[in-house]
Amino acid sequence: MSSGLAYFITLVIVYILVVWGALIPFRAGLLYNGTVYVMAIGGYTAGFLSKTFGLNFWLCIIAAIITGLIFGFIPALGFARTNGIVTAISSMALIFIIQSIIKNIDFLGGTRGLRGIAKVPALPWFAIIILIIFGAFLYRLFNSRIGRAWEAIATDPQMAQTLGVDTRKMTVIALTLSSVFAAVGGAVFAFNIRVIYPGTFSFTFLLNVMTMLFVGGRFTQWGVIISAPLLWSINVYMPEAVQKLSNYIFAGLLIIVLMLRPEGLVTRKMILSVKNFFKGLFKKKARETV
Amino acid sequence: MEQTNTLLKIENLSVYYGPICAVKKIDLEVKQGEIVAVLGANGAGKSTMVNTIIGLMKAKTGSIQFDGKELTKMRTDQIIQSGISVVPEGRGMLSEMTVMENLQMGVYHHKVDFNSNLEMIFSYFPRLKERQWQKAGTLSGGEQQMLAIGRSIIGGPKLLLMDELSLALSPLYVDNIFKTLVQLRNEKGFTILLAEQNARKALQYSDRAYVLDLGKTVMDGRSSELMDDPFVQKAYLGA
Repeated sequence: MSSGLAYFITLVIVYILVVWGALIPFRAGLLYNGTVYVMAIGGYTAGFLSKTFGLNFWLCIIAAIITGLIFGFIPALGFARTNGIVTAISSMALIFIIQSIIKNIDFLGGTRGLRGIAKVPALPWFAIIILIIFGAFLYRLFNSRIGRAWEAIATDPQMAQTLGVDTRKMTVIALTLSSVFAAVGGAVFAFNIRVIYPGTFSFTFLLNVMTMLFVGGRFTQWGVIISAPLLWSINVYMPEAVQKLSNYIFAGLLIIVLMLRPEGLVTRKMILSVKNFFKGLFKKKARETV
Repeated sequence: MEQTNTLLKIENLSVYYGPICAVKKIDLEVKQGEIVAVLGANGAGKSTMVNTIIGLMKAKTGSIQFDGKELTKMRTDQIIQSGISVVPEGRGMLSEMTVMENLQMGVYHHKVDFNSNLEMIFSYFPRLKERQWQKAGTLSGGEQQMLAIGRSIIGGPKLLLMDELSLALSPLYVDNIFKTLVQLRNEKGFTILLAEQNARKALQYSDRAYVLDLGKTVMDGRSSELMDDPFVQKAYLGA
């Protein structure tokens, strides 16, 4: 694998993980924008541990998961009491807060950035393993009791309460798990890029994440697997003149997709028909063996 | 059927929307195994009463005792967990979820055997079995009402609250639904509290009834007796 391709694949996987992190609160009907904030924390945790203590990749990932849990859980306690636009705005503020905090911490490198993160030669393969593990986990999660409760809250919060769902608890669980995805994404990102600046985890990054979420389809976990490589390849493989316009292209694509295909490229109907197709295959096979 | 232990007891309940009084003084009692109807015109406070029982609205004064617990101090999810199920006004479909997922939401807080209860629901409402993988929003009004009832009984609650069950259903269908409720009570021993505008049907199928007017309990008694009462006939049955 050429180093350019390895870098591209790993970055796309980072985006997929972070978009999944943004998808979880969305499925629970929460307008939460704090994913990039936890991503920064996960990235700096992994980067710092790797640089200072020389921890290996997997230990850094585990550390990122733990910090993600903690730093996702604390603000979640507050967001459990807000909703709608208040959650959206205040979670966005977290991004700016974490940026200025990191800028003022010397051992994290301040504005100069954190350098000297170890090189992991097998990083794309590790990233693919992480992607599969977290993808399977997310699939189970969305089809579990918790997933159904989230969907009920997103459809009608009062009805969900009437069915016995503790909406506050479910909000906290959604934001905490979402933070784990984002933190792991951040950690892989740190190992991929090997120099991280506080400015990287910015509002622009959030816009990229949200564009991928909406273009891919915000109702299933599969959409982003298509939209992330598609959109990011504009930044990498297009001629330089086009690359410069990538932000405009993102915005244009977002508007076009929302107008023509409001559910995004991959819709729930598509997933259902694919599932039925596979079910049909297995049924036929079962009949043939009999 | 004549059992003496009280399951739900509402005393001196009052509820306010800001400064506006929606319920002034409701006293009500439901015994184990009964079907009790609460009648009243628009704005009499029926839905407010139901919402206060399940904790979506807070009582200003009074108490709601259910199975030895004081509900006015509990959160909605705790109240549901203690064994109350609701068919809300307008059915409360989770329309983007399938029929099956809606039924699964019905056992969200209960540790019951989902599959055997599912068979029970399908035996009462065979139409739901045909449509189990369909989205709830694509069902007809009557089927949605079946699903709402199925979802509320699948967890095996001690008390069923039904808010405006007959709303937007054809008269024939209303009879069907009420007959199913009576059947459920007789066979499975459910206790049911109906808040209804359709006084004639509600009195026909219930054991006892309360009449609410402007947030107060004004009458109560056996349904068959209320049916013959001149005041009820004039005000609610249009005779």
